[in-house]
Amino acid sequence: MKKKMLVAAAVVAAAGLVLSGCSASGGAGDDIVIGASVPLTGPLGTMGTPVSMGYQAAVDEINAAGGVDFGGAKHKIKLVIQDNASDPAKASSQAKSLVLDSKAVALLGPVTPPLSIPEATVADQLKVPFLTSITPIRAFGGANPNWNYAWDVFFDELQMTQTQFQASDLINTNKKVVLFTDTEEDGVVMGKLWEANAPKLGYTIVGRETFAVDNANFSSQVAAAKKSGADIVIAQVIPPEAIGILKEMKAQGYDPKAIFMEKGGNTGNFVKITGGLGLGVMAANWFAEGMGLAREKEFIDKYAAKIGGINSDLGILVCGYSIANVLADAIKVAGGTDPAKLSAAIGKTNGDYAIGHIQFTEGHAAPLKVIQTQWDSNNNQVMVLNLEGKAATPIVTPEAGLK
Amino acid sequence: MEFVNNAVSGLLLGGLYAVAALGLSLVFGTMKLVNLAHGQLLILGAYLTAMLIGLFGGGDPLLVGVAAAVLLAVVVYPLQRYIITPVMAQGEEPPMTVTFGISVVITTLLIIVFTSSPLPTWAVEYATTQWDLFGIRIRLIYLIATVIALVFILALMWLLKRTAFGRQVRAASIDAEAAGLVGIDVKKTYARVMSMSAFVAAIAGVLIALSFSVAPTTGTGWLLRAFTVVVIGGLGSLPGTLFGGFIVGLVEAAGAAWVGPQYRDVIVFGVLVVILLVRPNGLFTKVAKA
Amino acid sequence: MTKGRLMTTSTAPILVAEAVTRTFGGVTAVNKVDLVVNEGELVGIMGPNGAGKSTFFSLVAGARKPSSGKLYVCGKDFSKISLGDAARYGVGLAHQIPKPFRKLTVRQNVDIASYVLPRKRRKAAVDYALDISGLTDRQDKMAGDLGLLELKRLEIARVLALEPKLVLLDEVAAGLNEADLDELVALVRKVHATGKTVILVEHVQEVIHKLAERVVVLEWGSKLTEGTPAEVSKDPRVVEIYLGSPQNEDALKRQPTKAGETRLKVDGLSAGYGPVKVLNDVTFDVAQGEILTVLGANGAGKTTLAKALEGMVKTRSGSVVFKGEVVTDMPTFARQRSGLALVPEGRRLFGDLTVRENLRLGLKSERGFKASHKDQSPLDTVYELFPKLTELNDRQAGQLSGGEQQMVAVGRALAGEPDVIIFDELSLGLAPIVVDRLLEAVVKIANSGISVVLIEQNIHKAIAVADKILVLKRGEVVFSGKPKDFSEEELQRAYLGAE
Repeated sequence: MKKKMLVAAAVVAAAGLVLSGCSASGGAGDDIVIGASVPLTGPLGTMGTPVSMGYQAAVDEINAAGGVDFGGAKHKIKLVIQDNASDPAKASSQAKSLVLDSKAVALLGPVTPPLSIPEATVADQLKVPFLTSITPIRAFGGANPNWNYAWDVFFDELQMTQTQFQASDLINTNKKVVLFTDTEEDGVVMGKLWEANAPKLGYTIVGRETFAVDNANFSSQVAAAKKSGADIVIAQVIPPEAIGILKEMKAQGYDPKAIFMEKGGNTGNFVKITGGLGLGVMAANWFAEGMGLAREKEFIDKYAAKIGGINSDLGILVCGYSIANVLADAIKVAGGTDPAKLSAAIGKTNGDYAIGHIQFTEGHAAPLKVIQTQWDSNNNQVMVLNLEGKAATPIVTPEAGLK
Repeated sequence: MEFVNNAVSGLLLGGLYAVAALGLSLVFGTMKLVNLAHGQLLILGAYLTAMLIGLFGGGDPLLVGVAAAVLLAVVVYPLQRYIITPVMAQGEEPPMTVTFGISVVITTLLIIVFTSSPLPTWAVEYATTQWDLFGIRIRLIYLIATVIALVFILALMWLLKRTAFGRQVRAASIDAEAAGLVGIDVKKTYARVMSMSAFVAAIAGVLIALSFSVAPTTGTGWLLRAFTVVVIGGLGSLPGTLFGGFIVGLVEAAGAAWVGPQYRDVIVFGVLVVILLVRPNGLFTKVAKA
Repeated sequence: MTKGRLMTTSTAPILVAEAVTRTFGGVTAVNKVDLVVNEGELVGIMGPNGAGKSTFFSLVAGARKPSSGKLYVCGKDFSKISLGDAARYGVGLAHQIPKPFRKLTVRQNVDIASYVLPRKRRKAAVDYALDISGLTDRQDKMAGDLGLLELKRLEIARVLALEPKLVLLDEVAAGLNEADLDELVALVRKVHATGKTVILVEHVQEVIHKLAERVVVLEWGSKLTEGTPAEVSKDPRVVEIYLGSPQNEDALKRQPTKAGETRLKVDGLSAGYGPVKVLNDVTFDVAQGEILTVLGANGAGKTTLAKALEGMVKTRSGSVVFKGEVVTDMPTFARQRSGLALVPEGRRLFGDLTVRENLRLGLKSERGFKASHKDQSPLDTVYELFPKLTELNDRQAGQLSGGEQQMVAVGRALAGEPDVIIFDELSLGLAPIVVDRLLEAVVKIANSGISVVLIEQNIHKAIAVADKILVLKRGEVVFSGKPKDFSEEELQRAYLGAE
């Protein structure tokens, strides 16, 4: 009896040794596994595809240079990308499986709060560093003010909701604004911010038209907007809604001086998708020609044709590329993949990347400043308001597609 | 005035809803099959039309839509004949599951081929034309949809009432086994009905794309709306489908005007639930004789 | 009315109907019927389909209220009581098609019926009901496992458990073979002998003749006549409308057929449902213009045979050869198209379609999308055979009487210009005169050269028209041969199980 117990204890001890040995000896030139559960299909597939392209591009570059240098050896990165089909439940289960089954030491995030937040929550529970983008930082912080392992690099909604008014300052309008927001959370949040910012910047909100997501019929909302006589339309919508609203505006002959369509207006090929109606629609952006970013031209030359123009999809790719590099740099700084050390190293990031300067502030978020862009006839988003909030390329007004 | 405007726009939009629901109604009325792929068939019709326009190098979406509708009808025939019909003998759930599977396959294929962004809208004048008749806004595309709904319903009613094929369909829907006894090839008949349903669905899909927009995943929302129309109109009743469309359009308009546009769907589906509670067979079905 | 009989039975009337009328919309189903039934009587109600028997019965059973007139049953004004309360006042109704709770035992089923009684009396009432109906030894059997006769017994037991004064029997003999019929008659006599008043509505003449002391004949909702069975059957009006005229019998006589080519050849056919094998190794053939009558007790596999021949039930083994071609694996519609038609049990008409539509569906010219109005000639044959159908053309088939529906069903089969027609339970639930007319039609059909497989309950008439007889017992052929070789002994062997 005693003998048996001794044997068992020995086995357990041996197993413990083997296991700890495994984690301790991770530095000897072994591959580092990084996981990413992104939406390659489903409604968010158009955004998940460029972000994963950015991840892959960064990892390929790093590996071509031999890998991440720490502990006296170069470690190649093995990037495991899985498609969560835009499904939050699948995203969190994939995040878990990437850590537990694929042994990922860190995760790169998906896009948008509905997917990023569930994955961030899983990462926090499993104590695995997680870095995401394309997730507005107030939404990220609102979901959990005390993230431990999850980090976000994207714009601040407060700054973003000022750019529409700053851009409108560049043209001659009656300073009357109509808001179109759906009843999704970001629609509600953004709507409130615009309502708060407008008076401070000298604008009047004369109407706020709301609708359930997936709603097809905008006739009464557009009629009300037209009646209010607003020169400026600001919308927080998904692409099908953007198309529906533009069609109804065209039908009702409502052609305001400036139309901002956030989120939905950032779809690649927007002018083509809207059958030309979207020509001249503006949207906030974080990457464009003339922004003054160091590697701007390099990315435009390399990827614009592949992505379908200089647009926010290209911006998403650059974001993905940038945060993958942030992660690699942090691994180097941390001298390995110890979760706590790595997460701390991410938090200490302070440097220039392809998307701009990245430095984390409160709430585990690094804000990116946005600019305003306008769709032109070449299917590019042209910068009309720069990082300083000053005029860039002149705004074409009124919106050309509705003429 | 805005009230009249809302009512007219709701009514005409109801015509579009009716066309969108017609195929679902036809299939349910004749085969007692709830086709969960109906929404995707609508969307697929629009995508096929876009494909053909690309292939032909242009063309009016509605005209090319007819060709796409024929194509879809041809594609759907073997699906019904060799995949759905064989499981129909096993009860109501297996065929529903199969149609659900088909809907998933269609969505996935569309995403692979066309990406998940919305289908580029066709820049045709009548899609965004609006007439102003004594202050009443009439969107031409809704009017076209309503006329097409009427034409389809009358044509289908004529087909079912007056032709040999219609008699066969009705006989098969009353008693499929007895239909075999009079020489009706029920399996073939079902496949033909599904083809007809797909034809109508494809045209409806083009109308939806012209009026609003379509993306690979928009089918589900339209299935739900079509289902509402069919239930309100009386399960499987063709003229009821038209009325069901009008009622859904009007309820939406009234809900938007009185309660708020953001509650439109809540109101429509609320009405659906109430109708299901009060008249489980829909508004336009005869109450079963005692 | 026969006064003498009234004097012999007991005193108080248990049912008094004065000018009882019931209308449905514009249709008068029961028209000013007067009737008095005294306690202890056994009265039969007869009449052709649509005569108003069932409606009148539903009034007496308290399931409907009269539109006008006075109706007193067991001393209660039945135009004033709540629907469904009749059982409390002593009226018990046995239904034509018993629908017991199949998962409950016989006793439990009877028990449920006794709940109208005060708690103390229930057990005794149930015991008594089981005893009278002869089910005491089977009281723990599941109702779902009962045979047809036992089901009928159970139905009567359920009525008796209500301790009724008046027992109403609605076509309780329907579907029973002759041996079972005698047992049922004995049972009804026994119930009557316990002092109950019994009123029965019956199609099977034999039952009325054997049981009723007095017969009321209804036609078109009105009372035609009333009297002893003997008196009534002598009334020429009754003979005319109900029993059929004697010369009809001649129409059933067949000319001996010349031996034509073999149309249908069945060899070693076995079929069944799930684990149950219903047909086992059945072999026969039918030649051009021949009538093969298939007999057998309930559950012998007759209907399964019909379905297997038409491809509605999968064949396990053996073959069906039709006009020289093996059709064993052919689907139903293809068999119809090649000329093998079935008139199914229960007719299976398309009820929402008109008579014309039902008939046209069978036409060969109806195939495909187009409606061809050209070739209607097979329908001419149908209208010639059943002239009445010309008047009914635009009516919905579901609204016709049973006999009319059966004509449509036969017509629908003929429309396909068949070479063989299988008739499954042609006369089930139909009045004798209608049965005669239908059998005449069958004979005409056979005389025109079409081969006939006739599955019938109406044994003697079916034998009269047969060229060949096939008797099934528990799925196997126990007799196959000419009618002249078919003895009463063979019949008993098939139906009674005597070896």
